[in-house]
Amino acid sequence: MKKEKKKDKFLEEDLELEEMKKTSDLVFKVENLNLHYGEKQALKNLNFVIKKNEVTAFIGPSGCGKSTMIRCFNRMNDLIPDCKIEGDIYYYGKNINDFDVSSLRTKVGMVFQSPNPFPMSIYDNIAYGPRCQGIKDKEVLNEIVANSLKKAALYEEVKDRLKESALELSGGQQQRLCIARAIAMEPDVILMDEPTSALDPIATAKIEELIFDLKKEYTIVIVTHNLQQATRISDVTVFFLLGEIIEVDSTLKLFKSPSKKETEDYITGRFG
Amino acid sequence: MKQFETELQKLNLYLINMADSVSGNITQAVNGYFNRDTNVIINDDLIDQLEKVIQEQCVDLMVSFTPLARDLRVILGILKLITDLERIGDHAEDIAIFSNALNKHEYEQLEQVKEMANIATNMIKLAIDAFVKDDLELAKKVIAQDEKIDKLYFTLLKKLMDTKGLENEVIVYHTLILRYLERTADHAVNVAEWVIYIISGYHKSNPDGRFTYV
Repeated sequence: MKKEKKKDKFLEEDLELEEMKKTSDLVFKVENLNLHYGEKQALKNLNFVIKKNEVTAFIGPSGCGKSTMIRCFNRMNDLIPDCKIEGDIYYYGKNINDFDVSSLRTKVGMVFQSPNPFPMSIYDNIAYGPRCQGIKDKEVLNEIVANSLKKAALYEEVKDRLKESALELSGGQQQRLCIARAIAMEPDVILMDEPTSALDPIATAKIEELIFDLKKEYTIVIVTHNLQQATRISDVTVFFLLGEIIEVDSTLKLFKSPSKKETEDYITGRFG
Repeated sequence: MKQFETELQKLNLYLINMADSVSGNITQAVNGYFNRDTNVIINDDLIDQLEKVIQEQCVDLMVSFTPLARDLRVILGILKLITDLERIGDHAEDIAIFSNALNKHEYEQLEQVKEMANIATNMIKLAIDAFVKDDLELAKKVIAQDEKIDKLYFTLLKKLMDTKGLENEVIVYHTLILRYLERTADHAVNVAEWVIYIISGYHKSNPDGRFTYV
C-alpha cells in the first residue's frame, strides 16, 4: 500500500532486498571491522553476524564499544568527525555503504537511551517519517499511526489524545512512542541503545514485553547494561570488552556457563 | 560481590556441617552393627534442619543477587546435592534399623561391611572437599571409587547366598544393610557429579552441551 508511494530509488533497492531476504537469514554480517575515533581505536577487528527475527544483546562495561558498534549498523558514525571505519558490514549481503543512507535508516530504525519525541503531537511524531517519504493521503497516514501505536502497545493509552503533545506522555510512554515512530517506517531491524535505562521497573517491563512481541516481525539489536534484561529478552548475547568481542553465544548458555574467563568475571560482577 | 562471597562462605560451612553429620550417622550405624547393638538410634534432625537452612539461604541469594554463570551454578548445584546428602542421612537410619534387628540373631559378621562404609563415607568427604577446593580431579576420583563399592556389594551378596544354614532374617537384614551402603555411595557419586557441574558447567544428564536447565 505504501510501497507505491516510496521514491523510485527506494523501490529499486527494496526489490533487490526482497530477493536477498528470500535466500538469507543473515541480516547483518560484520567483517574485520575496525573503528578509530582519531587516534583511539574503539572497535578492534570485529567479526560476527546478526540473524533474522532474533534479539541480539550487546553487553559489556562502559566504553567497551557496544554503542559504537550498534551505531555502525545504520551509519550513525558517519556524522562523527575523525571517525575512521575499516572493514565491512553487509546488510542482507549488500555493503551498507552502497545504500542511500536515508534508505538504510528506513530499514534499520533506532531507539535511543532517553526517549526523544519530537516537540509535536503524538500523531505527528509517528506521521513524520512517512510524510518525509511522500505519503500525504490522510487515510493512509491514519492507518500507519494507528498500526504503529498498536504494535508499540501504546494505542489504547493514547488513542483519545493523538493531537496532544508527545511531551506530555510519561517517560515509558515516550519511549514506546519512539519505538512506534521507528515501526512506522516499516523497518526490518530496530536498534535499541539502552532503551530502558531511564525508565522505572514497570515501564521497563512494558518495553521488554514489547520487544518480545516485536521479535516475531523484526530483528532487534539491543545494547543493555542490565544483564537480567539481556537474559530475559535476547536470544544471542555478544560480550564486548575494550573494543573487542570476547564471546558470542546463545544467551542462556553465555549466562549459565560462559566459555571465557573475562565473560565469567564480568557477568558475575568480579570486574567492570 | 564481597557480600555474595561472604554469604557463599556461610553456605559452604552449612554444607560441610551437613556432610559431616551425614557421614557421622553412617559410621554410627555401622559401628552399631559391629558392636552387636540392638538399640542404636540415629538422629537426623540436624541434617533435616541444615537442609532447610541451606535451601532458604540459596533462595535468598537468588533473590538478592540474581546470580549468573558460576555463581548461578553454585546455587543450583548445592540445591541439588543436598537432596542426595539428606537421602544418605535416611540410609544411615535404615542401616541402624536393620542392624538393630539383625543383632537380635546369631550370625557371623561380614568384616568387609566396614570397608564399604569407610569407602562410602570417604567418598562423601572427598566430594565436599572437591567443592570447597574447586577441584575437578578430586570430584572425578569420587566417581571412580564407586566401582570398588559395587564389587564389594556383589561379593558380599554372593557370600550370603553361598553360606549354608543362615536364618532368613540374617540374609534379608544383611542384604538390606549392604544395599543401603551401596546406595550411599551412589548418592556420593551424585554429589560429585553436581560438584563437577558447579566447577565446569558440565553435567552427565546433559552430556552434549549446556543448553537445558543445567
